[in-house]
Amino acid sequence: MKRTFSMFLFVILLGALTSGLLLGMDLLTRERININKEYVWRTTILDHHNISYTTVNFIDYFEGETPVIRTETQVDPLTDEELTIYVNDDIGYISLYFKGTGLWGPLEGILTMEADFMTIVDVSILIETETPGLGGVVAERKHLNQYSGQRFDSFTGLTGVANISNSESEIIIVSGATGTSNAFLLTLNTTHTKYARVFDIGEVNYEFIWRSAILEHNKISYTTENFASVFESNFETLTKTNPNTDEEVSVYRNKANGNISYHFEGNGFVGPIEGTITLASDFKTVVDISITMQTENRGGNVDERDFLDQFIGKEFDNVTGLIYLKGASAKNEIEILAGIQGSATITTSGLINALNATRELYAELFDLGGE
Amino acid sequence: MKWIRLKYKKWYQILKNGIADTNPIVVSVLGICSALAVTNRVENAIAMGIGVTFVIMASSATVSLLRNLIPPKVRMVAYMVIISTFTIMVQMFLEGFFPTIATRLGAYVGLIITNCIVMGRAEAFAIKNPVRYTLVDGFANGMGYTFVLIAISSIREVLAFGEFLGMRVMPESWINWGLFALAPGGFFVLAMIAWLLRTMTKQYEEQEA
Repeated sequence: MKRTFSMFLFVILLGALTSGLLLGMDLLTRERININKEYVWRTTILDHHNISYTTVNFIDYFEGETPVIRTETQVDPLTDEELTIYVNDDIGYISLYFKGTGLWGPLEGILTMEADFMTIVDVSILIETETPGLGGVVAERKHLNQYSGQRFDSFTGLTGVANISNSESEIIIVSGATGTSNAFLLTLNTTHTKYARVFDIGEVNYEFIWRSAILEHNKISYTTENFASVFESNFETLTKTNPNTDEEVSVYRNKANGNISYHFEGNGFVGPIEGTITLASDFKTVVDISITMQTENRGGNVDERDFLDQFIGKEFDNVTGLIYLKGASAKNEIEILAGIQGSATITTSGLINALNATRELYAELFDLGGE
Repeated sequence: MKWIRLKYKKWYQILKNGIADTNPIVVSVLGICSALAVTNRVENAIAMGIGVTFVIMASSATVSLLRNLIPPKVRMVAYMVIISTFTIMVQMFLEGFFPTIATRLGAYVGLIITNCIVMGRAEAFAIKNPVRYTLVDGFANGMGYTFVLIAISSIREVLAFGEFLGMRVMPESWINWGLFALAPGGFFVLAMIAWLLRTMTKQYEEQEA
């Protein structure tokens, strides 16, 4: 009893000692850490805009009487997220703070583009927890310098290549760190598309993203020049009003084989998941599925073909729809996304729920074999 | 005369043991994970060495100070709490007052928590010795760790990147040995250095009869 009591006392003593030390250090450093963080991201923007500053006057460029860098904020209607861009009206540069996920943790930094919102002026990574010497190389200046002057492709954004960059949208990835490199490119592409959509700037071709996905599901060849006309000649568009939202919704019927394609939207563990699915003419059997937008962390591989290919050939049950579980085998069962348990399961559930809800709604609206 | 007497002083023996005779990496084979992870650049090795040295000294001193109060059954948990506390304090202090160094160190500071040497010294030395010797022991082991890290990284950085401390030292025609930037390269160099130092200091494993 005495021993237990002394142990209990020691735990209390150690807890108080260590908590006191940490609280004291937090009090001592919290304000300075916040100031340092603000200093770092604001001065990174100033560096990108070639503006000289001191530790005292850096804030004046943003919040002085006549600020050089104008702050513009909009709310993303899809996620209610507040997005901010930093615009230098003298030279036209536009900067933004991007947040994404690398292979091991957060990946955050500043992306600056020219007035066209497509040509990159500079990129800096401020927060990363990648493997030093491997994935961590992605954040090194030598690697990031190659982004200057490159351009987001209107259709595909930035793409990673192994050795030689042959076009202005190609980035040479870090050898031995493909995972981190791809995660970084995905972060930049997703962020760029999101800001372009919310602020209505840049030349991102949203039409291409979903139309090309449907054409690929139906094994129809296209190019970036002719995709719109190929789509029109191969698909019939059916449109109805969604009684729940009063918005117009459409499905696209393949004129040759009756396949039906449509968009879906749902919520994953972190944010929205959007995509396109194609069902056979029975409106049950999955022909193919693509994810066109997602912001997941540990369920980030939700858009990878290894995961999505299992949907092909599966059938929606008219009562239960698709269901997700470990060890999926039946026609309407989908294997849970591999990843960190919990968050990856929520990502899977968000996707499956969105697919089931959208199909149920469209079956009723368009009278498509959902009985 | 004084120098001859020096080697009979306890603090000198502790210092010598930590740096050479029982070097944590090449003799005790502790802290190998971080030694492999961070030694592809000399700069990383120096930063990690300094951080580990501070945490060993601070945590060992605290363990020594509380050694008569720590119940034996929960001593390992107590070490973990103490080590984590000092590691987080180092991280906060650097982020607050030396942000440039904090940025340069990056994830290395957090990795100190997982370093076996820190807990090893708490269990093997600090729990049985007074604070003043514990501080010397922490410093000695930290320096022993740092010197080996610098030795490994000096070879790996030159072979893997053709550079030393970020400066080009190999001719432009040099083709980087990418393997040495990866963990297998670290294993090769570590094994060679361990073999060399053990031979020089005559630290051999005892043969079973």
